[in-house]
Amino acid sequence: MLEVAGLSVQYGQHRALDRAALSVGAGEIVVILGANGAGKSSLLKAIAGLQPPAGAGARVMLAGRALLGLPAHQVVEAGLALVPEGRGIFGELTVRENLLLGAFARRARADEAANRARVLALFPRLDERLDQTARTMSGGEQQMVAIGRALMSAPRLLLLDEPSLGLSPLLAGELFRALGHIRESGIGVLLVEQNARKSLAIADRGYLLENGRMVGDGAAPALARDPAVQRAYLGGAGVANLSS
Amino acid sequence: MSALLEVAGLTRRFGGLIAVDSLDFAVEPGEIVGLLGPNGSGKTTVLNLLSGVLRPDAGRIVFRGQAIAGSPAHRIARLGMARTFQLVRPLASLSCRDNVLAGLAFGRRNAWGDAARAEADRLLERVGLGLAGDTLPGALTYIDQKRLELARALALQPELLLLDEWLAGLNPTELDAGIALVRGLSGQGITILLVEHVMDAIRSLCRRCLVMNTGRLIATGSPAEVLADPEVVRAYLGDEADA
Repeated sequence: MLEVAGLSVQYGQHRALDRAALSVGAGEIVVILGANGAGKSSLLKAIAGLQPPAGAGARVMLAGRALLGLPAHQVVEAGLALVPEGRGIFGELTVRENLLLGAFARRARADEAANRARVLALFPRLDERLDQTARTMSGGEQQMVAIGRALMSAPRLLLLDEPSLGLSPLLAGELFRALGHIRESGIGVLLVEQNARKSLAIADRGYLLENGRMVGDGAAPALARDPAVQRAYLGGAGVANLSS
Repeated sequence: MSALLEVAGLTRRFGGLIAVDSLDFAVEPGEIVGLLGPNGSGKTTVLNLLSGVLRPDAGRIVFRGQAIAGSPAHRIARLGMARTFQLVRPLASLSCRDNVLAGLAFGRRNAWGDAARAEADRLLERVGLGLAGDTLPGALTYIDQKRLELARALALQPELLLLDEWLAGLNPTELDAGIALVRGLSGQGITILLVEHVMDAIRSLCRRCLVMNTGRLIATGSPAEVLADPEVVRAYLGDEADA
């Protein structure tokens, strides 16, 4: 459903992403693993059209439609939603208003009520806090608002940049379960996540990004068993905890 | 004999919500204390009350023998309490070096000139940003911006350092380095209160933890004790104890 090829990002002299290629199918969870500074956020921003690609020949196709060069609102209209690092929610607006703005895309308006019900079922805390000003919520609660807002746009593909950052162990667990439910509804999920243990446990496939280059990929269980992946991303104790 | 920080009856409401509810605790000099709890339990609000970002509605905060509840943030900082923010707040139009220089110049030391610049570079080096002195914060990765905030906080020469999820978002290798850095700061005599969800860090750094839920303390003790507490497991850890 998502096909990316030859995607590069350059900041001045620094090449943050070098000819990246990847794919995500409908109803598939794909995780990108890599150290901080490897280019993971640049990759998501370039796919979402927030960062113009460097050089010629880059291709980002979503369900057969070319996304590169489209303004951000049309990217959302095409069915791609990004949950950015740092959340980017509207702090002065209420939870309800933040969610409503997520449904601004034409593709999402008709199903606004159903999508809202789904978001509130995923994150009951938001249901309790619909009229709270978003900036007065805790960091983790704001993260739920950001994910909820993205789901309100009825995406085909959800991009998430470190969604478990700042969530308690309990909520991080709920988040990963929620991503599983999102997958069951046929939405593709592309995930950048430092919690490699939990993300590999729910993902179907993964890619390894190092210094801006894709250096490996594979089925998630195979990656979780790979000794090099364990050393680099799982802190050694990987396999024992994956079965849970 | 006395605690570095003593908090009694600390309370803060937001409208009808009691974010921090009659909190009592103390931090002894040299401790690394973990502050844990579910999202929305009031942890960051506690840091905001301690550091003067928010005024308490009630309660007492005594730091280094002085009552500071309701004091402005800059006065508390000069008394020796520094902090980092969960969502980073660098001075965006200043280079990394000048961000740290601001802490040196306007903090406790009023350092300026070449010596201060050299000290700023030393602090950047300390947090792993040795090459970033001339860079603008916006060009750094999110994690490096958090490192910059720590360097700026250290420029205050704090006695008490408040870290708000400073170790979040690190991969295992980076986390080991981060833990070693925090332990090194403790080794040089800085007392640390850290809000953190990374249990590996809590277990390896803290002898004592405070656990909050809905604005109140629900458990205190060693990491092993509080993480085995049924109330903490129910409200905070869930079945994801390996997080």
